[in-house]
Amino acid sequence: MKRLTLSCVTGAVALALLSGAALSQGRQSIRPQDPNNPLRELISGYYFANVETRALQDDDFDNPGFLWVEQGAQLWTTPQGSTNKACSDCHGNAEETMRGVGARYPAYDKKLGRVINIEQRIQNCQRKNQGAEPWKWESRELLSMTAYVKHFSRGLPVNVTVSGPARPWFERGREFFYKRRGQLNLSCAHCHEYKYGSRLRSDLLSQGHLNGFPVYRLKWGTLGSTHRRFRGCNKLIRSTPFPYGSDEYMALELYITWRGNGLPVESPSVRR
Amino acid sequence: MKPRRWLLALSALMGAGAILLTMNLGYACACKRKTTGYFQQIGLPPAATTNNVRPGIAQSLTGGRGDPQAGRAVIVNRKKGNCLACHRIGLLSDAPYHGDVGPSLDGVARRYTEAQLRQLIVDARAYFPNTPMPAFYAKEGMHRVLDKFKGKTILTAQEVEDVIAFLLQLN
Ligand code: HEC
Ligand code: HEC
Repeated sequence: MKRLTLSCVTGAVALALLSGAALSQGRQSIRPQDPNNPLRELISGYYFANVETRALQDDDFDNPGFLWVEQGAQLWTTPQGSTNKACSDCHGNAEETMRGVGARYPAYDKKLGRVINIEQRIQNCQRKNQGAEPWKWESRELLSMTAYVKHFSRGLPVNVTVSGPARPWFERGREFFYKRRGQLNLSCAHCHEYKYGSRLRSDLLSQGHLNGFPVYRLKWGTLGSTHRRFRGCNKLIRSTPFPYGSDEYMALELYITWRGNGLPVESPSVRR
Repeated sequence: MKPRRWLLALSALMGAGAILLTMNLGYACACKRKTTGYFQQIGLPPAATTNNVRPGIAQSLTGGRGDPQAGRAVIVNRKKGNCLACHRIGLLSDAPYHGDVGPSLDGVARRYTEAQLRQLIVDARAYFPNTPMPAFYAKEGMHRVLDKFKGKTILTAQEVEDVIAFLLQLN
């Protein structure tokens, strides 16, 4: 009998410790640096994922996103297009030259006169510097290169610039975020600002941050871009999605990335 | 030896159960919580209590009474009301995954009149301007609706009446 009580207590204590750890983890948040950020606490989508999904993301060997990262490493040194140049011919060792890049995109490009994200930066390099046909959105190659470039910024705080020429894009993205749309008549803010932490069916609503993109979604069975997620959330509320790479989504991406300024880059993340 | 081990495992499990019961917070017991969300909420007012001043929509949309059984089906159907995505309803606990974006609907017939419930289903923005709850019978003011749903309400007049008939049983 004594032994029974003892094991009962040990079991209980062990479980309390375990779930205590899970709970404190579930609340890990940072303060936004910008006082204009409407969020009072920033929480990575990681903490809204369940324990099994987090474990997949935590281990680079289990994280399916690393299959794309590995392919990106190969493509980095593969010559392309009419110039027969590889990324590495201009940018050298990615581990050094690409560190921090993933944390500051989307960014305004003077020559192009617009805000672009990493995907478009890559496509532009292919077109202009390699004389190659750019990889298509959601192609294995573009996702691989995006994941490869971004993963060198892991752990660095997201830090996009929204002043100067990027400002109008930022404003436009903010407008998009708060606008009700679709037959269900919801804005992004309804789920990801006012109701994060609530359950929508079996989904725990997150703050909708982009610090983990491109993301490996178990539901998709593949890696996917920010714009694929935008399209999915638009269709969920029965709203007509915008095309990949559209100005609307680029503005939205800049705005949402800014909301997460300060969160660590986690690419490639894993979600349900 | 064997049954002993079995006992040990059982007792450990019992310990775990006790902890889960006493730990009335966080993920483990999220389903039992009345409030929406575990993290700080901003921007939205708390869920409503009875408000007898609000008039609502007294007239049935079809002129007749709804059918509570049909209403139950509309509420559960993810392509129709999908109410359980956001609300818990004790009576429907056999249907899986009730969300907690909105308050539990248990006892809702005590908090609202039939006319008020009709207003809430037709367009809850009349009472909660910033609500996430879709307007189930509103045709105007929608932005960029998918072609498939353009010009259509989420529910038909009959379906709205059926849902109300079911909600009136939650007292
Ligand atoms: C009806 C609720 C709802 C609305 C409205 C909504 N989303 Fe989502 N969104 C979800 C759910 C559910 C998930 C998956 C769980 C999570 O990460 O929040 C999700 C996930 C996301 C994610 C992934 C976050 C991560 O860490 O992986 C992003 C980004 C996102 N949404 C952006 C948007 C944008 C942009 C809009 C508006 C165009 C929007 N959402 C509108 C329900 C919604
Ligand atoms: C996307 C989320 C969502 C969906 C779907 C939804 N609701 Fe709601 N509902 C809410 C929220 C949130 C509130 C609380 C009002 C507020 O603060 O906006 C609410 C309030 C209510 C209320 C008033 C409850 C009270 O105690 O004040 C009723 C009744 C109601 N909903 C019924 C329904 C029915 C019936 C359906 C389906 C036909 C439905 N809702 C679908 C989010 C939702």
